[in-house]
Amino acid sequence: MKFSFVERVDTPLFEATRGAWAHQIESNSDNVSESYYAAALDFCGRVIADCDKDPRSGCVSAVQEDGCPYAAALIIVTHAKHKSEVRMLDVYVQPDLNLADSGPNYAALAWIAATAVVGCLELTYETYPADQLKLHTAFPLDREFMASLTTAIFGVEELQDHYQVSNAGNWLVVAKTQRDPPRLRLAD
Amino acid sequence: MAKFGGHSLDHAGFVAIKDKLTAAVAAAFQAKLQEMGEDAKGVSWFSAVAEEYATSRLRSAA
Repeated sequence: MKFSFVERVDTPLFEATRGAWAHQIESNSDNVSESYYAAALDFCGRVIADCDKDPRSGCVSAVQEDGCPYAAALIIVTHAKHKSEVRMLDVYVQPDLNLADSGPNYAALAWIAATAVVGCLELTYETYPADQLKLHTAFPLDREFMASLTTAIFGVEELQDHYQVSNAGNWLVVAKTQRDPPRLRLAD
Repeated sequence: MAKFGGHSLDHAGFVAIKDKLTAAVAAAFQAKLQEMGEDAKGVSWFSAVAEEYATSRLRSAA
């Protein structure tokens, strides 16, 4: 199980995803999420169309399992240039993994979510240069889940001095630590 | 001999630790989901019924 981050979903990938997800929904006759996915895919389609006109406003990114022709998750990402931040808004996982309809596959969900977060953090370096990544937490249990991100980031020794993680209203904020400009110093 | 100090993490530096970071975040997320159990249905990224679940959980806690 290996996943990759797709910065910007194009129309062929979106159509492949739409078809595969519709098939997954049809194969589950007890599905309670049909209207949820209809609305989600409609919204993503509109964002992709808008992104084609003006990519600066944001786009739909994706997490894709290696070798799979469709996305395992679609992510709405925006770039608020004036605030120097990338915002990770809605995330939709493929119907086969949705906890409303399926048995839990926590390993797959965890890897998809991790690939999405790290992919969006990478966007802040070149694609959408920004000082921080903000993750939207719509509900209290979102915040409880996202809190584990803080532990993970500070558990990586090389990153401890490079980020600050905090809560701001309905957002979890991963901010790059501001450093003094390089100084010339004498070495031994 | 002179050296430049006070470096920030640039894109190349980020790419160098990206796989390690992804694995660390995935492990933390998986542990959290297992700890949450049924409550994972209230996480909007993974659940079409997150809002309903969160609301009913609040009602039952009141």
